[in-house]
Amino acid sequence: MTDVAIREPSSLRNKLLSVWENRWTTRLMPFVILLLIAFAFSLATGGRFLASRNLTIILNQALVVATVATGGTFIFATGNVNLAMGATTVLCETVSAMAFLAILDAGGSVELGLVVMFVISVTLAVFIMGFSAILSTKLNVRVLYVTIVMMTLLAAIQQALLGGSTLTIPSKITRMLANNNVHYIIFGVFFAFAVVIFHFTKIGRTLRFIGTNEICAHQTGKFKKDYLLLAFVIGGLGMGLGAMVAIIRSGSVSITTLSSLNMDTMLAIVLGGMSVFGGSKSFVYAGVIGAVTVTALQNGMVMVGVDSNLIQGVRGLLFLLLVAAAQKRPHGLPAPEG
Amino acid sequence: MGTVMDLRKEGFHMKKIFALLLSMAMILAVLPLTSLAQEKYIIGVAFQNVTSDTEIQKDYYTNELAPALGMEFIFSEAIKDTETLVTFIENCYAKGAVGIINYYTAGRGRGAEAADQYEMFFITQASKLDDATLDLEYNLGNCGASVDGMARAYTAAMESVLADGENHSVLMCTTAAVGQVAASHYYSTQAMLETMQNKYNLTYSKSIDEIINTDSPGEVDTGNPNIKIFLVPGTDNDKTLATISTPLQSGDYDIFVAVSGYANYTSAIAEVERAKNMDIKVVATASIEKQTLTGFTTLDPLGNPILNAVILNPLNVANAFCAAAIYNALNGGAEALKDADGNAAQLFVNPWPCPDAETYANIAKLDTEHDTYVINADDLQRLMVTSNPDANHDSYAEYLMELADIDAIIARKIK
Amino acid sequence: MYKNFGATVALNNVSFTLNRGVVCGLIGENGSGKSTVSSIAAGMQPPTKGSMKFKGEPWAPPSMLYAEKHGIGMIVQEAGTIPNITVAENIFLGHEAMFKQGPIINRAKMMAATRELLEGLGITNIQADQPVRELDMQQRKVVEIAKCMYWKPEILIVDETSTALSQDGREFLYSIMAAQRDNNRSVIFISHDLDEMMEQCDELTVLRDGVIIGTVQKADYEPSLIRRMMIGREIQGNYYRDDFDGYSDEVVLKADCITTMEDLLCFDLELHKGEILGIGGLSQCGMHTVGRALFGLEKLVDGKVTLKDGTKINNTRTAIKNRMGYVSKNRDTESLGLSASIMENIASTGYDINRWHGPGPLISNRKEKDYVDEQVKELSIKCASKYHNVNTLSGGNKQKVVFGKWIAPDSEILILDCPTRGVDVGVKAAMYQLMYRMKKAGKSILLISEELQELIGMSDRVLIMKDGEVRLEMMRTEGLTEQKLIEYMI
Repeated sequence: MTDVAIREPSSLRNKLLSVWENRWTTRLMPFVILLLIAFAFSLATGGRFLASRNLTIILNQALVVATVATGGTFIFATGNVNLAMGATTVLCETVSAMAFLAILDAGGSVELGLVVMFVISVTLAVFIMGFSAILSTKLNVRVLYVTIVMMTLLAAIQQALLGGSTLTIPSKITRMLANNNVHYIIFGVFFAFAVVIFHFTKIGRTLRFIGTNEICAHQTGKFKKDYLLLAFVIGGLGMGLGAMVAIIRSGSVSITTLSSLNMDTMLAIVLGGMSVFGGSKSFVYAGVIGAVTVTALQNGMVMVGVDSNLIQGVRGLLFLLLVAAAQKRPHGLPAPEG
Repeated sequence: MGTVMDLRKEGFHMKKIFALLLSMAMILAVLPLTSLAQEKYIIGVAFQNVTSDTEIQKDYYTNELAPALGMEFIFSEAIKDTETLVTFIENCYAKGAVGIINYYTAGRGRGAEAADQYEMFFITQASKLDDATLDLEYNLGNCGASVDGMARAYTAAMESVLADGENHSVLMCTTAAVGQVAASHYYSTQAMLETMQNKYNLTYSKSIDEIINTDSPGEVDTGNPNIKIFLVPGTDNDKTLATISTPLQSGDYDIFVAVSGYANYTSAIAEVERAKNMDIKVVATASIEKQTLTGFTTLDPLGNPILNAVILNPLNVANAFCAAAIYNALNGGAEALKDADGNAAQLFVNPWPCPDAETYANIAKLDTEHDTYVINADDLQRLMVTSNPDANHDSYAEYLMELADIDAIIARKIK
Repeated sequence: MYKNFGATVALNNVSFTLNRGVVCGLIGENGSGKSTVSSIAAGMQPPTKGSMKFKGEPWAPPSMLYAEKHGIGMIVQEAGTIPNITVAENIFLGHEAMFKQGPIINRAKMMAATRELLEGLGITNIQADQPVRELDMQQRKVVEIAKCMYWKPEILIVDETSTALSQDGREFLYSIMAAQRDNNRSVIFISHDLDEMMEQCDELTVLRDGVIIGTVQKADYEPSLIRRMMIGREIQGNYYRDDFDGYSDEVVLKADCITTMEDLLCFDLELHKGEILGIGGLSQCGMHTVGRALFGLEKLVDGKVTLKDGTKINNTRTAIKNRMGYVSKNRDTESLGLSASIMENIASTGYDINRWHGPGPLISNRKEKDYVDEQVKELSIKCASKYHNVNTLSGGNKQKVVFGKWIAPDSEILILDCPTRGVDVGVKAAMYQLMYRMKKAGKSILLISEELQELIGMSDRVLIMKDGEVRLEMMRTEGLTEQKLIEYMI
């Protein structure tokens, strides 16, 4: 608490401080950072960075992470960390691709195959995430530990299914889907759905409040176990849809596909301005902004000719600095309460 | 305490501002001041694996091909999946690349599409075309190992190690044979299984095609308990090393065969040879490099050479043809490289069988400097439309047939 | 002395003198600057401008550790111990070098010094090698006091510590303060409890808005004068209620032989419409558990809690659905999301109310804003913006946010557990007036409090508990005093 009276700011410095402390500053800071990056690289590349084709490349590269991260923000808002997002997405990609190819092999139509692929991907992801949530609440084990176990289990299942082989969807089909902007539609619809749920309904507000103070939320009639399940279901939806976007983008899945997706997703969410502790400073667009920022950064560095060996190092350092600029850190040891 | 909170808040704000300023300084600091005008053709090279022969190939690209063709090459890290290949292609586009030489065979279809989308010429080092992308304007096709040549070479190599008339059991790394992801791997494996079958009158419980397409490692039912065959598919070298450990350490297998490189496994093999006091013969694909010479000349614990027979992959030959193909496409010769229907076409590079150290000693002198490169800058003229207007797919295929004769090459290059 | 925090002026030309052998009380509303003065003296932060002298020499401590070692020690309001280390390690935190032998710390010596200290202070229920996490909140505060007293401070600063202590704890603290005085040392005592301050302090210095209003000696203490100095105005109306209005016969909430895992065994209670029912007792008497059980926060082993229509209350969701509200005594950890805004905290009870269209799924931002604005205005919550985090507010304003949260959905039954703890006198007065208005509007209030004066002043009926049972029930009458209630508590 503060032991000081609140006074009206009188000087320019005070006015600037007021702006800095304004809630919109926190929300808009990730956008500002992204714009600054775009501006800097645009200058350096004589405008090539902002060419529509390059922007499309950035969007395409960011789309899988953006989709999964959008769903992931529902889980992160509750103050929980999910390490099984990548493994879930890849397993859904594998199973749905297998189903699609099986249908084609059996003489089924491409349309049927696509519908089945979509349904299986989404259903499986929702099931896996729902199961994880129930496991956590029933066994009273932290979400982090449950998802570590699930991550290992799902990777083992994928290994057993795929072995050393690579599943490839006929490129004519992925080309057709890409030409019809199906991946953008999937992301767009899901993002719109997520924005409405997260920012305009009881669900989103409750998830954020649980992340802020679980006990207080309980005392206002919001039970963590119910809402955690919801968060995971929506998160699973994002993963299932992310798997579809990944299939459209790459057309194949092997044991090494999207191996860093979980880390990339968490990085995107954090870089997009959301706190790792969730709570009230959670925004559903954080994952999208973060994913695009990461990709734009990498793209820009490639364009200006930074050595590929250096890119990872520079990326890591820049992330640390940008997170330091954008994140509000707790005042003590890591704890959910701010 | 409220007052402490305010103190920390003030300090925190200063840190935020400082961090933001430092970030911007860093971004600006990495921006080079060089001009962006394109002086050379920028070509992306997407390696599937990064092994000991990768540096040799990079040297060839940079020192011999680049000046001759007016190109600058960008090299990837190991490409393990299609997503990474697509991202690499996109990043190359961002850098102003106009062509891609692709080694990741599983991604050749999607890669061709991505390159075509960004109007970059695309050629893959593979032995089997991707049917769905034959008609793409910027897809030049493949230049890969001749599947017949590889099959013949492996047959010959197997026959030589089985020649003593004894029973032998074989541990085979089939890499990308499953589903013919790499056709040469598939046909090499087929050739070896057929050779074993013929040699020992084996009755496999499944067809050879079914055996090769089993995507998990395991023992083949040979119908003969004295002859064992263990197949290990998979393109991930580290995973394969872990998988072969158990069958290798059983001591049941005295022949180790790899349809691609063997270097990752030599230590494991040597360890078993020492422990079991047995000689394990090694047959593999290799490149012209120091490690291959070492393999032939270094003796294992029982006094036998590590390597018994290699099928030499003339990598730099394929590299030269791929780079020249893109050069020609950029200089108006794209259609000449395609087949009669105007689709992407296949070129085959024949391997050089090398059954012993003596043969290798001569071959090893190749590809070390300008004069000994199998295709050096002077030889390249034959492939470039700007110096040879008749250069086309047929002339390329003809040249490749000539290059199958390793003795002729040695006679020409090694004085 | 001046002290600014960004745009905010905390101290404005404050000059203050503390004499030897004096227990000086610093009193003022939240935001008055009293904690700022003491924290500067204790080395927590430097002043923006101005100087200090300690025992005639210039005093500018660079840190609290330095100040502690050189004669000024402070016991803070919040938790000042680290749970996962021992009592001894906490007491000598930052001073471990005292026990160093070469590169190694002699733990046996540290333990011995701790045991000696605890014995010297008469503390027998805490062991030197005990991990602090095994101690309850009160014992942890005692460890902090011991930590401070090890250095035999010339000036001991007690900053709003007593509110966290039960009667026993407070007696211990008072004995320490008295010993300071007896040893010709001094104490700066900060508290919101005016009665306590008047009893313990030799003089009271009143601050308001970062300025010293005046100092009152013990002989001249007069509560209404001091309150006037603190607030700058007269408190309108009486501090507590002065009516004897009574309440309806209608029972709105009933506890029927409820038994919990601990504390309660076949406990009965009835709350009536328009009643303020007070429950008092010592801290561990079970009264806090009663509040929790009635709101569905405690698992009942036996018995039931029902509303007038027979609805059973067995979880918070049912309670809230039936227009009940609960203000926990642990405000910061249970009643508020500190890192959330005032807006989000108050709006948290209105998700089902502020829908866009009827029972539709979307929440109307405008309705939510109105929902919150009404409470900010009605309760005069002092804040720069309702979008600022709750942790920027004073204790009193935080409590107003909690109240607002439960008044906004028009709760019919409110369970208030120590609602005026850590709240200054101006806000307390406002809360009492609010409770009275709610009673007159037919709402029912269960008031659980450790302050007997508050219970006597506000309740229609007072229950005194001990060991999980009601030992005394008294109606609101004119002659009701603390003495009549205390003997049933102890």
